[in-house]
Amino acid sequence: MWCHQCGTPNADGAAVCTNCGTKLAEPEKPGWVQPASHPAQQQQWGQAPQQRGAQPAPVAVPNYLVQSILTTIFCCLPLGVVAIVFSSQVNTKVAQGDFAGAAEASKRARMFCWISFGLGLVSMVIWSAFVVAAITRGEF
Amino acid sequence: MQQVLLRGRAAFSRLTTIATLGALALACAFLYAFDPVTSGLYPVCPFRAVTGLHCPGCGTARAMHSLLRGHPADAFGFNLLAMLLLPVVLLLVVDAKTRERAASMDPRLMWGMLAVVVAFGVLRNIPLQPFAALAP
Repeated sequence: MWCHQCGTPNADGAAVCTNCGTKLAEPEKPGWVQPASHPAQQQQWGQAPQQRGAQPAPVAVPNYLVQSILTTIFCCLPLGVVAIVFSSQVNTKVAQGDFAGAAEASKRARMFCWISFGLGLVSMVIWSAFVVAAITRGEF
Repeated sequence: MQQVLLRGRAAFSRLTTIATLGALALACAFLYAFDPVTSGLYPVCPFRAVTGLHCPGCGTARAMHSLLRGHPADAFGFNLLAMLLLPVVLLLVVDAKTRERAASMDPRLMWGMLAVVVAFGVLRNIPLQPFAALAP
C-alpha cells in the first residue's frame, strides 16, 4: 500500500504512513495514480510534495536538487551539472501537468547523482592512495 | 515484504548518515593536519591549471584550514563565498536528512545561488581594488 501523500510504501492495512503520518485508511482520492511503475525512485533520498502547479501532483516527485548540488561541489562537476539540469526540469514539468515527464526527469537526476557520486568516490580513493604513498615517503 | 523494504531503507539511511559524518570528520582532520599553502598533498585546481584564473572555489581548502586552525579572518580572505555558503550547505544537508518529508529544493534558489557563484568568480579575477581582495 502506497501513501497517497508522500508515496512511501507501507505495510498493507497500516493505519498511518510510517514516513509522514498521513492516515492511510481513507479511500483513494480521484485522480491519484498508484506509483507502481516508479517504486525505486521513492527510495533513500526522501520524498517531496509539489505545490507549484494549479493542482497537486498525483504522485510526489522528488527533484533531488540538493543531492545534485552536493555531488556537483564534492564529487564530479560536469555530471553534477547534468543532474542539476534534470532536477530543475522536475518542477517545471510538474507545473505544466506533465507528471510522467517529471517522474522521468526525477529518475535521470537521481541516476546522474549516483554516477557523479561514484566517480567522485573513485577519484577520492585514487587520491587517498597517492596521499598515503606520499606520507609514507615522508613528503608532506 | 514491504516491512523488509522499510527496514532496509531505514538501515541504508543510517548507513549514509554515518558514512557522511565519517567522511566529514576525515576531511576536517586532513585539512587541519596539512596546510594547503605548503603541502604538496592537495590536488591542483584544474580550472586554474588550464586558464590561470581563480575559479569560484579556489582558496576553499586554505579557507577551511585557516578556519579549523582558529583564524576565521584569514578564512574569509581566502574564499569569502565558500565561508558564506558553508552554513547554507550544512543546513541543506541536515534539512534533507532530518525532515520527515524532505522538501524538494526550489530551483529558483539554485539559479540564484548559481548567479552569485558566477558573479563571484568574475569579480575575484578583476585585478583592481576592491575586487582583488576577493582573490585567494
